[in-house]
Amino acid sequence: MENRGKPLGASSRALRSAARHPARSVLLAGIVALSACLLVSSLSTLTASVETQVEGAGAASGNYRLEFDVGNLRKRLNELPPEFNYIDENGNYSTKIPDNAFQSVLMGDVEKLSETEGVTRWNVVAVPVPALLPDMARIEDPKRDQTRDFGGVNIVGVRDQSQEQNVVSGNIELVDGAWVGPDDTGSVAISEELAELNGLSVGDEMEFVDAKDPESHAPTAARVCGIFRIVHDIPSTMTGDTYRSENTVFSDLAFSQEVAGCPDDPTYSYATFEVDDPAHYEAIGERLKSADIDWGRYQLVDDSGATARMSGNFNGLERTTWVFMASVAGCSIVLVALSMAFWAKTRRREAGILLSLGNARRAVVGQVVEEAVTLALAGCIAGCALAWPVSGIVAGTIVEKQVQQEAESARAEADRVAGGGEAAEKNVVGASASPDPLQACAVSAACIAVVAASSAAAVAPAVARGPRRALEKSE
Amino acid sequence: MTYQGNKASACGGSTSAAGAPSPAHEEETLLLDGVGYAYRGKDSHEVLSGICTGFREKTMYAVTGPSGSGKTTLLSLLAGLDAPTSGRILLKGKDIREGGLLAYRRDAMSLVFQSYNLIDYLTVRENVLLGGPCDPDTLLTRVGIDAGLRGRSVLRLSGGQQQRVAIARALAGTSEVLLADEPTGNLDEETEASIIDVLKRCAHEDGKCVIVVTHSSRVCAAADEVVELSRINKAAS
Repeated sequence: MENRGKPLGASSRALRSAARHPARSVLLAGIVALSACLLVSSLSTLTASVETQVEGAGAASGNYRLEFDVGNLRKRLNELPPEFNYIDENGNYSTKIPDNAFQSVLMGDVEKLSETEGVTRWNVVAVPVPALLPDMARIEDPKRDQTRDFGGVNIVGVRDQSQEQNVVSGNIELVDGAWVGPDDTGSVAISEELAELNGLSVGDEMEFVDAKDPESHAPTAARVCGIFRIVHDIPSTMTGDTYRSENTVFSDLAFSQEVAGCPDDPTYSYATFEVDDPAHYEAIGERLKSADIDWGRYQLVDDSGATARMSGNFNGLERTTWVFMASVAGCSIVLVALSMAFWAKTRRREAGILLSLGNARRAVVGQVVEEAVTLALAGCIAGCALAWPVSGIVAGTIVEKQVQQEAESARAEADRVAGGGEAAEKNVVGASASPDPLQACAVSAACIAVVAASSAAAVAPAVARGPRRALEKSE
Repeated sequence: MTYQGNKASACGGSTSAAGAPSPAHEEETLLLDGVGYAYRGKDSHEVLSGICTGFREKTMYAVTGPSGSGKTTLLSLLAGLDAPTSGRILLKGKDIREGGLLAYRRDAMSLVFQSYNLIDYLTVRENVLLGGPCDPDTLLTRVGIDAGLRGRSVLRLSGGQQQRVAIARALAGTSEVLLADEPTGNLDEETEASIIDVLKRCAHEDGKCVIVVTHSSRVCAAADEVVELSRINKAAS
């Protein structure tokens, strides 16, 4: 590659320098390649986590949940006429609630929503009712002070227990009989511990009395339709042995309200709606929201603890990925900038020689920058090419870890909402990551810009001081 | 100032009132007119002061002086690597700063360093081409570099061969002045003699003004004229 006659230009020198210092060039290009690869992989992992989250919302549950809006309840309480406000025996101001419907999800609204196109099954869950078991025992911690406890069990009324959160999530599993169904009346499902303690089996009768006012209510009988095993504790917002998992009794909706003494004025805490096609999850959600009910009372949210928790976890994954990416970006910038600065520093003598031979400062800096950019470009191409296999491995590993972590946390924490690890694991199978070419281009451009800026910044001051000092400094 | 022959001359009081060189100095390629140089900063001190001398074409000059007398500083000023803090340097009657030091370095002068200062990733031929448009093979033949060495990296040459390549690079282009800073400082006697011969031919055959800063008595002996810096530098006296 001889160039007879014409002096060597900056570009020719840059290419020759890059080609004839192979070890140095490979090292610099390698640093850029590593940085670009990690950044592109991080970005693709971020995309993967979001994709998985969307998949999860649909696949994990396909459920929407109609909840009572507490804020709206407060507002309606404030708007009650003066006759509902009174001073109690302790001298405190209190508000008398007109009826249970005032603070309940209304069955009429739920039934309207259940008719929405795309909703296949639906469920309603009543507020837990504390009840005593005449002539029967309950599961109790002997070391625990029971003086403030009702001393009974809690009855959770459900329309269709097969859709109940704890069943869906795997917190409880049926060992005998059947779950409480929509057409059941006077049916209960009890824990195997409670059944064993009282020698009960499917088909046996049990009696319950309202624990809040046992004197006023006669015992109400129900037939045991199912016995379940507790895999993970059933979450409860209330404390005491009345509300422990083994003492949780699921019944049909009417029975729980009958025990509470208000069969005509029930209190339902929430309803869930299962969609037929997870792919149309959001569209069905929009349809639900367009139903003609008083939306001021409610909030429609992504149901199933599984979805909520998985979304939470994958949002966590997204945050983790951002932190990882920010760390990689920071380290990459520092590493690339320092490498380039060190590399450019070794070129000061050369810069002095070229200046003393009459080369312009701009040409000398340009040569160094051009060489650095050439190497960075090669590094970016290699790094982005590597990012395809690497990002798949990285994303797969991170997602797998996240799912494992979720499963472990579900087992470890008793009071978590429904959505067991197994259920979530099933829903993230097939999560994948693939770098976006546009992101790869953006990362490459950023890397090249950092390289160009750092190499220019490293050599420019020496060049600016003039050829004599550049040569002196390099001696 | 010591003269060998009678060709170099001092310029004190000989420039015209308008600042142009007097007719007596028009024949000189390079003219130093009251040139001084002082380092600034913490260790500020004056190295050169009131240097007045001239250098003609077709002549090889040896600039000598004890260490610290400002030889290398003077060479830097003559090479346009730095600008004098006082006085001026005239190339054929024109201040070298008029057209810019960059153009001066590129077009009017060439430089040979004691440490050769070749670019290590370029071949012998490519290093010569850095000096300007030329036929590198012709120049390399002139300085005695075998054809077999010309495609090699300069790092594979001996010190003497590298200095020859540096001289060939200095001969490329159309510069009228060739400056050399201790060009034989790192070489053995035999190689030194051959380098001196090449430099002399640059002056006598190419008609260049060759100025060599040196401690070497051999170079001084071979030079057409010897300039002892301590004698003309007021800062040193």
